[in-house]
Amino acid sequence: MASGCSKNVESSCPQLLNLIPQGREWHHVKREDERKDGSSVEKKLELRLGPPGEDNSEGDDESLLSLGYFSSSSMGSVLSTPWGKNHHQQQTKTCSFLQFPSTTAPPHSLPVMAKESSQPCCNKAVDLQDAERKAFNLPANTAVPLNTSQKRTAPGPVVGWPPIRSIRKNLATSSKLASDAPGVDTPSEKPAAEPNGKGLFVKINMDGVPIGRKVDLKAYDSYEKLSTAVDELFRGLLAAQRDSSAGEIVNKEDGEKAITGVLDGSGEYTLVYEDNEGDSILVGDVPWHMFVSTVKRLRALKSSELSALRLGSSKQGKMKT
Amino acid sequence: MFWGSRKTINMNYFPDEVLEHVFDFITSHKDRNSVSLVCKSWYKIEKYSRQRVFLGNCYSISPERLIARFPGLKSLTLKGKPHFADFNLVPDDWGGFLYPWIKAMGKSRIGLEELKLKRMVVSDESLELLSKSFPNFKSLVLVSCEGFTTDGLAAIAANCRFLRELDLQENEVEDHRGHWLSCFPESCTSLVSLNFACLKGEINLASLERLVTRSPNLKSLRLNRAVPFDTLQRLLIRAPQLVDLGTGSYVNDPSSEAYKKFKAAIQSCNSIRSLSGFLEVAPRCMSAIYPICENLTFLNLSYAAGLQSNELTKLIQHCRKLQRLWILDCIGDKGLGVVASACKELQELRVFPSDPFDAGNAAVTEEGLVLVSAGCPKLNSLLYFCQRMTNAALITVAKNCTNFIRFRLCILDPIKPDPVTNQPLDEGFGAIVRSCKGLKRLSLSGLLTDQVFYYIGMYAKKLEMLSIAFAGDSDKGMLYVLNGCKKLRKLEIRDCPFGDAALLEDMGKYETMRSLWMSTCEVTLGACKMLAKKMPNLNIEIINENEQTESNLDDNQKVDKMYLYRTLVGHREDAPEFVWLL
Repeated sequence: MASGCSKNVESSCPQLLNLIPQGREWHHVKREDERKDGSSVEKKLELRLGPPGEDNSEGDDESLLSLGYFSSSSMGSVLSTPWGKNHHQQQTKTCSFLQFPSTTAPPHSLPVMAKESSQPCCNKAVDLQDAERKAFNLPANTAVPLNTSQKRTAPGPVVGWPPIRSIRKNLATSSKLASDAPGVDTPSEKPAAEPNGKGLFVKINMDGVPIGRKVDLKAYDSYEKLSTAVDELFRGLLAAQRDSSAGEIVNKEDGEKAITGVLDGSGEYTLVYEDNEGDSILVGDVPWHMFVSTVKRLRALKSSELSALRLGSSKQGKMKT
Repeated sequence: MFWGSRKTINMNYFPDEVLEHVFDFITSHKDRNSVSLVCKSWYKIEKYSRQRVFLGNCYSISPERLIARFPGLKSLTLKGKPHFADFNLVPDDWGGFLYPWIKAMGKSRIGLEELKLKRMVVSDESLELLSKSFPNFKSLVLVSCEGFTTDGLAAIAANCRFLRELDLQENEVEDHRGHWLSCFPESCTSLVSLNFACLKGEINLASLERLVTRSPNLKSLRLNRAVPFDTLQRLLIRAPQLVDLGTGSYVNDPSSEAYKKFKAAIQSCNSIRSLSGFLEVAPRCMSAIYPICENLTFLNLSYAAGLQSNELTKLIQHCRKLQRLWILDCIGDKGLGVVASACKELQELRVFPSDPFDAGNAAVTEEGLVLVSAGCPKLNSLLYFCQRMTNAALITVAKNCTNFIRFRLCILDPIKPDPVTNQPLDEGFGAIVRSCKGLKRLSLSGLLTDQVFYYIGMYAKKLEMLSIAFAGDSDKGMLYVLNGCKKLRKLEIRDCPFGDAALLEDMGKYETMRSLWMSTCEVTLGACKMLAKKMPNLNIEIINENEQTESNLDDNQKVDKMYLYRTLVGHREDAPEFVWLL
């Protein structure tokens, strides 16, 4: 089904995965230039075990690499090896959100090669290209968790996948905070104790801006970085809001000013968060890791209106050490 | 009396009251809709006698028209946001506001008694207005709603003198902890159902106890996490007649007095048929529940992340009459085997992921599902999150259970093929639709080509709702479905290669459906515009969260999110800036 990748495909994924069986490492290489040539004809590649030249029957999809990596299950990324110059022609676009563990099986036992499937892939075979196309339909900054026989760190979840409500997303984390014995506070277990790669996305809204954002708290390790992120996320939206409410055409550069002072009350907005007990708390009171383990959502409120709200004090008593 | 003919009796010669009485027995919405189409006189009688109305899309009609159409309205169900809003695909302020409905009904002579809302934006203002506008108001059920705080609940508690039901399911409520429970006056003794499990904040426990004590008709009580174990025990003593119980925090020390008292209390609650909650749970305390397990028909442990598989199976083994089970995947395949052998009456199974973002770790696979299908012949409704699925398993499930009405399968890795054969899962799902002739709702996942849609179009003749993600190869897939599924009402699609040709092939089809959602597909702005132009009875909405303005996009550009629905009232007035109505 060579219905052709759309234009978007070619522009959105500049990186290729390139298996280079040198030593014991798999390298991840950017190949922007090679994209342009030769990808028109054969977009389907199969990754096979076996010496070069072996008869590869059509649609023989059982030949999984012991890497546990198979093209169809990997959102369209294609492994190719530069065995020879002609193979360069077969490199296709992939999205680079796959990460390989540094070694899996000893490479020397896997004469991996990319095979140009000159015969049409059997209908039953997984259509790599379509898997690719699906990959490209993802927003560029998201990725799909891989399912392979090895543990692999997924770079991050796809928006809205899996299809469960937010309430169910952090169940595993919050259950660790509950204890078996009554009345005894368990030591706060950092969600960071879980394998990396699970984003902790919380909603963040800013007063006066109708569109909220989501921020991955795992991407930061301090309040300062979070504060910078808030500025980046909302600066443009805030300026656009001001433009539309003012009813004038304001020069974009004039209208955008940095959002600062969100942590200390000195700015126009102050960051507040809602914790797992429903309390609203000023961001910055508790150690960062504790914040991350109890935060449920964030808000940037107008500093001038803070006093009108009921805020829970940072609860010294509930600090778990 | 002059009969119309010798053989038939002309019902129009009956007085209206008789017809009305006959219509009272017709309760299904569809049937009542049909009745109103028979003739003018039936239309009129049905119109004035209709008390219950269901609006699957609040934007399909306006409040004013609804009130004019059914002046006798007493019970209204409204749904707002599209289903994918549950998964954060729809921005918060998209719409679905309750206020205009309350305002309009409040001004009219409608004597509203029951309101059930799903995915609506409910403000405190609207709750307050509701509580003051309808003196006979009895029942408020809010599912997946947002926009209100406990202040709104306080207004309901304080003003609805005959309130029987306050049921809050999975809403986002801002908790001001302002003692809303204390706002139920001492004179309020009519409560039958109280569910506040989704509230996050603390509540006044003494008020709660007093409320339960003075509510002899209370049948359903679902507590939130802030209600501790010993309060639960005291509540059970006050309300042994409960039929449906949701525990709050279920954490205690088995050697404590409170625990012993709890065990005694729960033994006298022999009416409990439905058990949920366990929002915090101590595994060692679960044995206290065993005495009531044998009568349970519904068990929801899907929030009890602290329970391991062996604790779960020990409990479930006692639940021989279970009809509906909601559980986390930590039960594992073996645990599902225990379910299969113990719960022969099981009709509905939902297995949720305990660790949604770690696809490789999900503890259930196709084996668990096969076991349940083999052991539970009455199974008709499934929601199953798993790590992997095979065609062979699905084919076996299809043979074992032909009664599926709802079949929703979510393989956590969205385009994973059959791991044994590396084939797409077309054949497996094909077997399901071929075998389950009554299938009304289907959600697909895994690696899928156009072939699966061919099967769906061919066999799923009763299908009403279909959810598709990361599937298909071409427009043909979507077309198979649109052409074949005659009863289709809701179609929601994300990340599929379906484009303009599929969208525009049969534009009239959408008037037979409630709604269509397409996000991250291949549909262009130009096609949406054309559809909007040709079909005035459809609202086509483009949700655009980027900062581009409408004029920046050209017609060839793909739309990120499109939501279309049939409507009698044209464009809605309350759309936010990022929603373009074409």
